[in-house]
Amino acid sequence: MLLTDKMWLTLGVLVTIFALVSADVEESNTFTEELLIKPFPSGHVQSHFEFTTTWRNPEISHSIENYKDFEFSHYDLFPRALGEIIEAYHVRELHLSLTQGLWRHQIWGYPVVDAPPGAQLWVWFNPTVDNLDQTWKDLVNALSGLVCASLNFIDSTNTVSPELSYRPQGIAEEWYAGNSSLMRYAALPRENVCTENLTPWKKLLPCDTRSGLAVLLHPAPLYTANYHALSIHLRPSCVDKSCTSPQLELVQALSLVQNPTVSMNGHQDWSLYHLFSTKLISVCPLASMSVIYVDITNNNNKFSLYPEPYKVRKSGSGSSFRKHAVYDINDTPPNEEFDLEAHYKSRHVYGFIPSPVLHVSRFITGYGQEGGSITVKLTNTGSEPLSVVYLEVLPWYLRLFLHTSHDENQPMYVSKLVTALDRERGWLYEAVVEVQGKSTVELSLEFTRALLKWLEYPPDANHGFYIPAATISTILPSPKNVAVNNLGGSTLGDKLILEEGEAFIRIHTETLLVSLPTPDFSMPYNVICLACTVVALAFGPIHNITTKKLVLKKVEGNASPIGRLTSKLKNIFKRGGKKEAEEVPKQDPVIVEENPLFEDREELEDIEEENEDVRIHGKTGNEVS
Amino acid sequence: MVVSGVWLMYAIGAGLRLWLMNNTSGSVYAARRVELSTPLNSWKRVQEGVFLYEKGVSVYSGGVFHETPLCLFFGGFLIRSWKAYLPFIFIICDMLTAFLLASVAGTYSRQLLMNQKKNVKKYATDATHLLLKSTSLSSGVVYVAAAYLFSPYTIASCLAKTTTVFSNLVLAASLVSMVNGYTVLFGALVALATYQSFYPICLLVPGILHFTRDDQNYLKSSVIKSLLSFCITLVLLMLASAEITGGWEFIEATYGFILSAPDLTPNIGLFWYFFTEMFEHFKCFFIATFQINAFVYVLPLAIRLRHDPILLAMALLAFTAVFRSYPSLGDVGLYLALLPMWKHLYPFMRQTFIVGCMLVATSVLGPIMFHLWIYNGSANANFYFAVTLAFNTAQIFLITDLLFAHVKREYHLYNGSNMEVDGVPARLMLQ
Repeated sequence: MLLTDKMWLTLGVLVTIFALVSADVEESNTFTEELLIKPFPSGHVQSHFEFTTTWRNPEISHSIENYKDFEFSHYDLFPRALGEIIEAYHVRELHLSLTQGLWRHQIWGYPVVDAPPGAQLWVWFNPTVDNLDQTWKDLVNALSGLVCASLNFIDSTNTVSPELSYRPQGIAEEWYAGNSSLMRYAALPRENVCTENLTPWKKLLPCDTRSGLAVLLHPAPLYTANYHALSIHLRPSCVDKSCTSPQLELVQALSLVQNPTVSMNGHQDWSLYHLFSTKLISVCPLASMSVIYVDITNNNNKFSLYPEPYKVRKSGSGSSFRKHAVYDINDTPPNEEFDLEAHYKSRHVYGFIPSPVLHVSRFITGYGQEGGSITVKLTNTGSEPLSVVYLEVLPWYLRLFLHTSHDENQPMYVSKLVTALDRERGWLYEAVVEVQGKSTVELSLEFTRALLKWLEYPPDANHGFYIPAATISTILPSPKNVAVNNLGGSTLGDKLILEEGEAFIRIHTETLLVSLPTPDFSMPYNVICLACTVVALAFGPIHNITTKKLVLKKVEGNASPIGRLTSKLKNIFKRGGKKEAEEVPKQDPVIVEENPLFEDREELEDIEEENEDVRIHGKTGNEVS
Repeated sequence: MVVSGVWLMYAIGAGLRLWLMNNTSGSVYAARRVELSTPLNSWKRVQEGVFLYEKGVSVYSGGVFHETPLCLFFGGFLIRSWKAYLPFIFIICDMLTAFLLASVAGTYSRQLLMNQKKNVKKYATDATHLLLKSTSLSSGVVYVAAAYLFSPYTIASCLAKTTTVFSNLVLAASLVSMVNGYTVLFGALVALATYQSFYPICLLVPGILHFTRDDQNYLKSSVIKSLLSFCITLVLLMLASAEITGGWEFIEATYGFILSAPDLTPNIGLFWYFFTEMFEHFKCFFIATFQINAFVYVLPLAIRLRHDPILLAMALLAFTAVFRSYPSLGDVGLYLALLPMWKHLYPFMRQTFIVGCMLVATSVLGPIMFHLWIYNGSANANFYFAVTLAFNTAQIFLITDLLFAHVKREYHLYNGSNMEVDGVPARLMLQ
């Protein structure tokens, strides 16, 4: 195996052994708002909002360096509602995303933040926590109140602690980043996202939606988008590249993919007004930075922006080359509506889209409601081999049979496996798979479907059960198709400047819909009655056999005319069938000496002798033939 | 001539199984059938357990493997070292079981004759036609072996490679030691059977009755011997299991699983649909009620059938096959194979035709209804449930009918076949 432990330790972790003794860190709060607009060759346009709040003071630095719980005082820009939850539940790092729709990696490349359909939550706790499972339970309940999502459906059956896939994204030393018992991961694939989640999310922003880029977040266009992801990321990060002092960073991100080409008569033309039904009116006075970036890396004169870019920023070279048009909203004339428009010269041409290095598809195979397989196809289009971490979190009612899909020759190893326990714990399957260049690896996990109790089914039982997305993480050899690959910066502007060389990506597959066999929900009473009747059928006769004895009774004993009639009827039937069996034709009394058994006397004596032999010599005498 | 015929029968039984096992699709289909493979005895789960054990995953903390640690150990050994010979092992075990059952039948029929000879003076004078003959009894011995070798239930069970094949072997061996009066061996074998599937613990009662029946002064030592050997073997097995798995977690995962029946996968038993549709707050009560059914008949039947412990043992095997939480057709095949030993009771049975039809119909309809429900979606769970209900009803009818027949025959033996009271036609009634 090519993998070493060290390689996986660095997997997406900002591992920093910070030898800093920050004696006097001054109090500092910053808030930045940024928007990245990126037109895709598929005709879609992505808008990615990032609102970043950072907070630095001696107490926070102390907490981060010593893995202690945060103790906040004097909230300034940081949202108090979230801060109190973080304090109370020993949180060090928290990532929550609420997503509608599926990010299509094959045509859109890799996003800034990848999120699976539905809700996803992963949290790293401080080592100070006593009862982690209870803390986790309390935390999800608090968060579900904070963002109005059904996170309270997260329980022990869908919570796991994967080893490799979700390493801390903030600063962490190796001993902490490798201790997966301090993290919890859960996903709710069926969670719907709507304005009720957006409103509390917006309330966490210092300017709310009254000013700044958040003004653009009108619900109507957001929820008609092809893809919509709302997320909150909290992590301890570094103030600067050299990481001299830590800070707390809260990123609220909202990602949208819309398809203006359809409504603009084949042109990919877009404008802020078109995308968000509103123009930018004012700047958030609390924001130290309000910037819109437009990705013009692949523009090649296809479209022109109006107004002209205030600044064009080029970075990197080769596969990390990116070109952005930068609009600092603070530079716009005050009290004037700002709109950004892109005009395309010609109608959109749907052509060949260079596919990213690694893409994944997942599906269910098999038919019927008895069993099946979850198959995942990992395709490496690059020339270099990739080591891919594949994480599958499955509910207990799919019973996996792993021996059918694992043989010795596969270039993979299972890094963590937690077997499910009915109604208590789900499956965690995490494997490292070697995918050679220009090849596809297909893995399948065979399962059988459980029959649940009738009250465990959701109201629409035949709709099926959603199975959470699988997580695929790997380190790509080059930042081709990657939106961000460095975790050092705190602002989107910094992150968009790609580093040369390797790029860590973590992507999610499709969620699956599995139908389970269902009982008949309408007849619990019937089933209970019928099953009990069958049980009673045994009790009655055995009670009779064991407590009563056989006696001969005269047939004429019935007093009532009906009884007489039935007995007569019975006699008629009896004469037909049963008489021979029960009533034996009368015979003359036989004297014992003429008993035919006595003719077999010799044989019997033989047997008796044989049996005596058995007694004496302990031989088996069982051949009677 | 007869001996070679018997051997030929065994050869055909083995050949049939081998031929069917070589037909891969057939054995795969059989292994998937819920009637044969339950969560407790499916070979696939043994393989999975062995796989997990070798991966270093705690086997009993999960919900897949519910076999005993010794089964895990031997299953692992078989899969590692004897993989190519697996079908032969299952077939040989089945052959051995058939042979042991035939030996039980042989010894038992001899004991019946002896008994009859002893008691013949007490019998009614017109009961001669009811008396047993050695020829008819010896044909019963062949029938027992044939019923095990050619019963579709046992063949399919062997084909599906269920571990019921092994538990049937142990049960057959304990019956052999019981009829032959090997007290120590009997205790040990019942302990092994109990260790495997818990319910055979009730076989201790007929065993003790049998040992104490012949010889009154022999009573104490034989009871103590068999009980001691039972306890010691069970303790040793448990200790060995704890040694293999490194803890006592397996008790919860095996016996806890048998008793609380949390896996509601359809099977031929009464539990699965009942507890699917059960209200949660009554669940505990009904679990207890249903489990008690497997044991509650031990005492009354032991009192009633104290003179015929083998019949008692068969009745208990049958009742546990009906009332256990995860029954399979392999269990049913075992006690059905024993029935020819009571060939002489057949004339007194009243429902053989109905029961036979019910068994055939449900065995055919079961897979059809399951397919309609799970694969075609054109039926629902009730269809399959109805079939399993009818199947269990048939089994209950069969066994209670046999017990009634026994009681009736006893009556006629002692009281003659005169069916008149004071010259007026009368009927036999229970009072």
